[in-house]
Amino acid sequence: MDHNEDMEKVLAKRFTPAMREDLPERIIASSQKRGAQNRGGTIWLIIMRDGLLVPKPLFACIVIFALGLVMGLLGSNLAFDDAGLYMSDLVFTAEQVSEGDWL
Amino acid sequence: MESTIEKLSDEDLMSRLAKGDHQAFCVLVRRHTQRFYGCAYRICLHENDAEDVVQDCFLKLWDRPALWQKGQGAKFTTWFYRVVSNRALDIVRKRQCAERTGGDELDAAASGDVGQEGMLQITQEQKALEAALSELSERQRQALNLCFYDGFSNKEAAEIMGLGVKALESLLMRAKNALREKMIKQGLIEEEKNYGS
Repeated sequence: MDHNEDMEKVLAKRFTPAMREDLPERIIASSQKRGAQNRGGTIWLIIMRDGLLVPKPLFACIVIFALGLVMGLLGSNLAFDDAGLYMSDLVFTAEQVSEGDWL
Repeated sequence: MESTIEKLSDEDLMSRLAKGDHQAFCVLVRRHTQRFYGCAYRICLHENDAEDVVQDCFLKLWDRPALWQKGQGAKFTTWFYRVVSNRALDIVRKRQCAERTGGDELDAAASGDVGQEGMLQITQEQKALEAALSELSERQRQALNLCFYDGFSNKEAAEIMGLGVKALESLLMRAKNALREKMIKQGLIEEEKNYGS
């Protein structure tokens, strides 16, 4: 006899106990209870949460990273210019400081 | 009314469910509870846990039907199997953690035992079979469950596991080879001089 057949016969004997017969009805009863809660006041919260779910997390991460990189580069240029402006204002030479400034 | 709604496909029922149709939900539950209970049981190896998994997943579906998106082209059953198996695997991992940290809640999954009624019915041969199956990797076991017990085609099983059909077939082949060796060790089948796959 083929070994595969042998194995499949053994596999077919795998035991799965039957579920309780009332399981579908218990699920339905629970859903009715939850339905009364959810479909009343908080349903709009659930709809909003579902609306905010990101369908493709990896894609979203890459886009956010790229956007951050671009903004970071632009931001660093601006910050450098600003710093340059302030630095020139803060540099004092000996000629600029008169005796009266100390008093 | 009841009879016409029962003839609808799962995907049509999901469209109605998205609009809050409770009848559609009832039909889906009655149609699929048995099948998904079997799927969950083969992962958890515990009746109560399997029932909890199926109940949780259906209630999640009722609360948030938008989680299933028809546009993505997946069949309801393949998508829902993923939901059920992920939940069942969570439970198994939690149990394994509890076991590692000294908790004694779980003997069942690791040892291949089952709860209450099943305990009486299970035979020595089935225990050996569960032990052999539990030695396979999680992916190999999932592939075997999907194709052999849960009634999915190779294409559907490949989709569920996020593999190509060829990759699934090779995974199945490796699972069967590994299982054959374990079965021979357990004395479930006899060794042959030559056996091809």
